[in-house]
Amino acid sequence: MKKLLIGVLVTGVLSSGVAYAASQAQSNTGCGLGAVLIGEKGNDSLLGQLAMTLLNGTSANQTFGITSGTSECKAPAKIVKNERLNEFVVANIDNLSKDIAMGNGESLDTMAELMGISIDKRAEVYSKIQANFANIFTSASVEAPQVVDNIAAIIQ
Amino acid sequence: MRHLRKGYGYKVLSIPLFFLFISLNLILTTPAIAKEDAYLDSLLKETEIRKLYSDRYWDVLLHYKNSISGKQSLVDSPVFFLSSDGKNNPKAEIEATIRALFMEDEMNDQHPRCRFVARYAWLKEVLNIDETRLPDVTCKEYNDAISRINPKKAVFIFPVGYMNSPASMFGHTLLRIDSSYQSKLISYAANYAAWANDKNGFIYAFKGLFGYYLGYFTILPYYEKVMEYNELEQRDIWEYELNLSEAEVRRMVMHLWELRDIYSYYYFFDENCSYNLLFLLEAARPSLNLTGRFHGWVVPIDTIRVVLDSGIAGAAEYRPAKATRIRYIASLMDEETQELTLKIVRKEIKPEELQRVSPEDKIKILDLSAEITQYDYGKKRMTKDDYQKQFLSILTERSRLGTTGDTAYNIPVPASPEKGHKTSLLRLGAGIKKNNLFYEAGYRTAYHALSDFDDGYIEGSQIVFLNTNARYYTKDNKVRLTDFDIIDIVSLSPGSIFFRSPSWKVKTGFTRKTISGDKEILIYQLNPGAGFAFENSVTGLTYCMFETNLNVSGSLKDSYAFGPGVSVGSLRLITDYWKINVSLKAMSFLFGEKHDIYEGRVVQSFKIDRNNTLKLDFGLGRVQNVHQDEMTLNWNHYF
Repeated sequence: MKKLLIGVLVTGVLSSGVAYAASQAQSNTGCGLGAVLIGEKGNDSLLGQLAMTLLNGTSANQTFGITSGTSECKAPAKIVKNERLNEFVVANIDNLSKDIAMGNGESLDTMAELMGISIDKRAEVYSKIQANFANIFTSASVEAPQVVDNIAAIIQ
Repeated sequence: MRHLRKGYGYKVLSIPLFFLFISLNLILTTPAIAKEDAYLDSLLKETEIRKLYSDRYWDVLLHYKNSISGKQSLVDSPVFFLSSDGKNNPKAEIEATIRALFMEDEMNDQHPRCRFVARYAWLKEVLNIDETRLPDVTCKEYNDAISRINPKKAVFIFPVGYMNSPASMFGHTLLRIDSSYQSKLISYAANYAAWANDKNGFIYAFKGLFGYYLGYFTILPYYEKVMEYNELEQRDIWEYELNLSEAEVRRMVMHLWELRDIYSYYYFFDENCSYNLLFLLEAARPSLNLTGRFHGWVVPIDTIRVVLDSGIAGAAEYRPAKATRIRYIASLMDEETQELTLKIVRKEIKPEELQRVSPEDKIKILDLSAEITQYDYGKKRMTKDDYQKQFLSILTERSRLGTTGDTAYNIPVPASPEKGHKTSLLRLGAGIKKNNLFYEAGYRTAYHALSDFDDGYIEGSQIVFLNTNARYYTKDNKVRLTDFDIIDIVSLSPGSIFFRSPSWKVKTGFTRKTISGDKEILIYQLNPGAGFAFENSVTGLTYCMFETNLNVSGSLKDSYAFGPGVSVGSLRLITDYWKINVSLKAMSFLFGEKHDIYEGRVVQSFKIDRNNTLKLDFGLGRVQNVHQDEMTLNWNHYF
């Protein structure tokens, strides 16, 4: 666990970037499961679709999301502040929960990297958190910071 | 309190005094100012002598293009230019920029040196500017951003069209900027898009065509873009690594920073997402001339070809859409386990109630259920509450099964988009119609037809813009226009137990048609249809459509003919070099000029190479009991 904490600390320090646009939380991110796939991009008419596609239109209110803004969410309590990890988990909680249940996947790899878990340790860590899925995702409304805390507690 | 306020008041008063002292000091030390003025003058003089305003890189950074009245920038945001004449005058702009570098700083992040970092970096290099002779400026926002992005490598990203939607076949392009992190999801993606909030398709189309939308560059975490394209819109993504050096990628990000909150008017066909993105590549490596290779229409796939031709792009990596993943996992399962999956998705059984199923099958069933549940939620087919509960119950059960078995799902990689045929088409051929020999020639502006080979395209999707064909009949020594299709779209979406989307078509334009006997007339037609399609190992991609057709021509009774009909057909790749398209059609024109039409066609395509095919078209037709049989052999060249 010491290693993990150091890793998190280092990544945290390295990534503690700018808070530009932090106040403009994205409309399609949230903190709990099921926060991700809500977008307002659907326009089902043929012409609407054609136009949308050619324009590759966007209605997001953020242009330079150097940080994607998780200010609405609580920060994980148990681990050292790691803004990028928290942002990633908030925005990717659905895919992350799926990867954890399946024991592999890109979102899981990303989380592991942001937590500073070395590559040779990952297989072991993954099967441990897969086996503890129910202790991590304790309810349908569990929020991302709590998930990070739960994972940290299990890896310890 | 009073006392405190008073004290504060003193402080406020003392500030102007302080400035007065400073300015007095400055006035007293005029030689210093004169010295800097002299430095500015020398820089301006050198710029003039070396004609830096006509340097290629200045054109790139300011997006200057040649126009009738000299150079003009494609950027429309006034704040992008430091000279009021900057949009049309590269010289005035470079002079204003150099002057601006000497602006006394009270604004740091807003200082032109922080705002236009790429311009400054370039000027500093070419003019060998001594930074110590410029005012002291700290660009905190920019420095924070660049350390956060930490640019190392760049990747050209191509999300293909939406599945089942030929209207979107053009695709899109963006750039990914990789840092030293292994994970690509937390890289940043640079994107150019129109700022559009309208809900109405007509307004969209109009504004997009005529430049009423503003286009902005954005930079967001790549996972946001993966979710948008792979998951929300079901578009496969192709990623082409670029061999740009770290210094070049940094220059790209610097230019991107300059373009923050800067707009250009967005035009569907030329100044679009893919075209504007090329400026970022040129900013990285000015010796590339990518934007100069397009005149008129810019199709995203063509920008990939241009980038590949320039030699900076490597092999493509594939990132399948969620729907692709669903189809693949389903393809590994038999009918019984597919049905069980559907039962879980429909909540007819609970995930923990899967009895008498092998652990391997159970894993696949639960994995597929999870994917479909996410897909359905993305399509807004379920409430958030329902989704959360169901998703969690599936995953909880899945987590008990470990990682044994085939869980990695190696989705086969299809041909990458640039492997497909090019988008314009020239056609030359000869044929026989009712014993009369004819020669024909045709041209199609874009893009892909059902009878073309599908490598790099979406199977079952046709989108044809401006297809023209003319024939010369030897018998009467006359040239006739036979077809002028303005648009001809077909979307065939094979259904499965997990996906059921309708198939549809729409065709409009001019065509030559026989109504009775030998009389051929040119008509205008509007021919929409809708139906369904399925995939079958014997007949290939098979479809059935109900259609209507409206014909308009002065030669028709009451100037029109209108009626319903039905068509069936199938498309099948026999070998990699041989494709057959069989179709049958019956139309009954019940209104206006009444007549019936029956038609059977077999089109065979033979691939010579990627951009050349031979097409043998054999048609049996009957209009009002008069046969209209014809056979044509065509050489098709894509360019």
